[in-house]
Amino acid sequence: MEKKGKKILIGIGKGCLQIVASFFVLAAAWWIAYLSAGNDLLVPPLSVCLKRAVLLIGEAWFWAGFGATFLRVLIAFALAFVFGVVFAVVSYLLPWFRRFFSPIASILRSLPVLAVLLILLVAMGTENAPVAVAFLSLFPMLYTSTLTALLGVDSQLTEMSKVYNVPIWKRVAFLYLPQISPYLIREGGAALSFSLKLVVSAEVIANTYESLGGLMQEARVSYEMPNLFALVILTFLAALLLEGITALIAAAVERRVK
Amino acid sequence: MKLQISKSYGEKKVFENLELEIKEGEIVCVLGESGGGKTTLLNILAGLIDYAGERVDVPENVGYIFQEPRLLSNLTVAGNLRYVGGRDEDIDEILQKTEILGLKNKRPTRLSGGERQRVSIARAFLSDAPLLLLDEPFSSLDTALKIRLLEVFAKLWREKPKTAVMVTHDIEEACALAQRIVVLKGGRIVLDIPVEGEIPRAYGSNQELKEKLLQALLA
Repeated sequence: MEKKGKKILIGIGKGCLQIVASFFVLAAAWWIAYLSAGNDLLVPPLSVCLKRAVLLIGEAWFWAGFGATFLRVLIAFALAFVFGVVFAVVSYLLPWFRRFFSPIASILRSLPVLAVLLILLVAMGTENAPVAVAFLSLFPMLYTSTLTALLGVDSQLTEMSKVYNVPIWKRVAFLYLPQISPYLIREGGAALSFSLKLVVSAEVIANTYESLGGLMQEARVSYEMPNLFALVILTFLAALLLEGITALIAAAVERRVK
Repeated sequence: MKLQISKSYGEKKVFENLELEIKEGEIVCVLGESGGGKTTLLNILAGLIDYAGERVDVPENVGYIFQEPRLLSNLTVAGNLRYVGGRDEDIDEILQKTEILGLKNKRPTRLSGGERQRVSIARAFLSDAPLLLLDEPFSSLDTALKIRLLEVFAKLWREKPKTAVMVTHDIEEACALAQRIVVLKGGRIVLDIPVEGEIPRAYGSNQELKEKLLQALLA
């Protein structure tokens, strides 16, 4: 157990080092952009933006916007997850449905979602359209991930389960879930992080009231560039945190299962 | 039970009107070369694949000892046996008989190949299935381990005689365990011969029988 704990700590340590190294690379890139722009209005110094980001964290209006955006992200993700899993399970069980739905999934994957947003804005309004856009992007992603995971389940074990007439609930609990959950959690984390970026992008275009995207639009319109960059940094960090947390959960589940 | 089956994979014919009758409680070994349809025959008995023809009195419930142990790595040995419906008291008993009671709470990844195959044998005998299917279950093991597991299988079978159909390409295995050997070649039965003596028979014995089987395989 001690060895395991040590291994986990070393893994986390390595991960942190990688993140710090990436940060320095990004900071260097920012510095080059700042020097190239030569205009604080266009590209403010990183230190100014970071200070502004810290100040924003203390503001109630920031959290109101962040909270509303996060709620939209969760709703879009939850809907996409449920539909994605249901359709994937049906496709797994019924090969004819898989053949029927595959072109539809491809079309959805190829949709220019931000263009579709303009149509959805008319039909659904500025608050719901970002949710719909994120759903349209995430649903085919999660459908494909879930189906890939199901098709990857060890066929020798499914055959053994069939021979021994193992009840379906047992196969789901002890065979399918343990085999697909690490992969699904990882893919889900990536999808959740992507959903945040999509929703924020859609909110910027839709100028959604009380949202991260809306705050970014407001900052742009009033040339509050440090605020705008600070909001972008905070959104990026939130997405990174989401992916990081789900990667840790996936790794923990994988260790438990293996 | 009785089979009269034909099976093709596309253009390739595996069997055509293959007839096989097996008495209750009999251990029949189907001997044949690789790709000869032995596993296909077992899978038809297990109800895993389609076929043309009929099966008479073939039980729905079977125990299957696969070539690979096919254990769930996320469950312990006891968990794997519970997965197929084993009750705790029966699990302890069968693990005792297969001499692996001490491994009850270990996961398959912590077991050797021989230990995993013992779990697979325990699983097959744990169920009340009247028919046991064995698909080259000892092929990946060394000779000493093979002999030990043949003894384990024979001991369990003697306590609860079930109909068993084993397929193998190993003549020694067939001679050690079978009460009747059927040689399959080109999708047809070319030899069907009873074998006398209590199982497991000593490895390396019964040269005359082995020569007959070899001739049938090579003819």
